[in-house]
Amino acid sequence: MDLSDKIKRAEFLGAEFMTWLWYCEEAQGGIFDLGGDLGQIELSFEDRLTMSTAAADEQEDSFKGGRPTSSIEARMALRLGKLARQAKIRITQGEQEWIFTLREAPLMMTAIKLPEIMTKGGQTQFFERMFLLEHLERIYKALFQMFLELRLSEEWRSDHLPMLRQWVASGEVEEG
Amino acid sequence: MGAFQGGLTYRQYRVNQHLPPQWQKKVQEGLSRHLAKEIDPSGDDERSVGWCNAHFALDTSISLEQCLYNEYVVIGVRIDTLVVPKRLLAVYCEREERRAMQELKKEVLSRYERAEIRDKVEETLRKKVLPTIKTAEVVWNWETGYVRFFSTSKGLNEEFVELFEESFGLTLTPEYAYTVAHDPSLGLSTELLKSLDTAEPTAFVDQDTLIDTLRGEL
Repeated sequence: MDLSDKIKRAEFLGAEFMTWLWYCEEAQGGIFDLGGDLGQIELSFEDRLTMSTAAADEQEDSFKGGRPTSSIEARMALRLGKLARQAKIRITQGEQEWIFTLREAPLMMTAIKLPEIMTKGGQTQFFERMFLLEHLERIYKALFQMFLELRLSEEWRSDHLPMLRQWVASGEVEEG
Repeated sequence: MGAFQGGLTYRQYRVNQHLPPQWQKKVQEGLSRHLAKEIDPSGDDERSVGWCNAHFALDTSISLEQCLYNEYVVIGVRIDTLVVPKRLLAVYCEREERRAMQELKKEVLSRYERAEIRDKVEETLRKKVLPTIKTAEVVWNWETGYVRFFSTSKGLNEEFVELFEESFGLTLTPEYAYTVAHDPSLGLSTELLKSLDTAEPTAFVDQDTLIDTLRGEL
C-alpha cells in the first residue's frame, strides 16, 4: 500500500477524533491536562456543527446557532450512527482564547482566530501571531496524540468504546 | 486570511529532510531559479508559477535575506494565467469569419480556414488580455521543518508542492490524520503506528440503540 492509500484509509480517524472530543467535553467538562509545558486547557464546541455517516450519499446534518452539541437533533444524529465532521471549537488557556473550525478530511483547523495581540503591524506582530499559532498547533497535536493513544490501543474496544456507546445511547456520561 | 493579519487558513506540510549546513545558499539559488515571471503574450504559455514577495506580488526581485524573519522564511507563490475568455474569442472569431466569407465570396468556410482564423484571433487577443494573478503566502519554519501554505485550494496546493520541491530539492509531506500520527513530535510508539495501518472504523453507536432510534424515527 502506498502513502496515498494509507492516508485515504485512515481518513475515518478525523471524524472519530472530533466525536471523541465532543464526548470528552461532556465527560471531563472540556478540561484536558496535556502535561508538560502545555498544561491544562479548556475545550468547548461552539455554534456550528456538521454530522453525517461515512457513506457518500448520506444526508448531512448541519447545525447553526446556540449549542448544537447539546441539542436533541444532534444527539439523535449520534444515535443514528452519525459522527461530527466539522465543528467550530474554542480552546481557552488562561486568558488566551483560540476559535477555529475543525474539519475531518483532511483533518485540519481552518478560519483560526488567534487571541488578541497587543502589537499592531510590523515583524513583532508577525512573530506574535506565529507564536500563538504554533502554540495552538501543539495543543491540537497533543489532543490528537491523546486520542490516538487510546484509539490504537488494545483497550479501545474493551474499555473506551463501551463508555462512548453508553454516552451515545443515553446521553449520559458513565462514571469512570 | 493570511500570515500577517486576519483569520488563518492554511495547509501544513513537513519537510522530509534535514537542512544541510549551507541551506541558505541552496534556498537562495532555488528562489532565484524559480522567481515568478510574467507570461509572454506572444508565446504559447498559459500558466506561470513562481516565487514573489509575500507582501507584493509584482515584486519578483526577492532575496532570501529579505524573506528571512528569524526562523521563518516568508515568501509568496504567484500563479499567473493568461487565457482568452471563450466567449470573447467566439465573438471575435465570428466577426473574422464573416469578414472572410465576404472577401472569399463563400457561404461556408472550411474547417481549416476556421481553425486558421481562430489561431490568428487568439494570438491578437492574447496581447490585449491581462493575465489573472493568484497569490498565496508561504511560511516555512526552517527550524521545525513545518511549512504553511495559506490556501486550501487543491490545485494551488499541488502547484505549490511542485514548485517547492523543484526549487529547493526537498520533499514535503502534507498533514492528514495518517501523516500527523507519524509526526515525530507526537512520539507514538512503533507498536501503535503499526496498529494504525490495520485500524478499521468503529461504530460509536451499538446495534440496539441504532435499531431503537430507527424505529422511533419511523
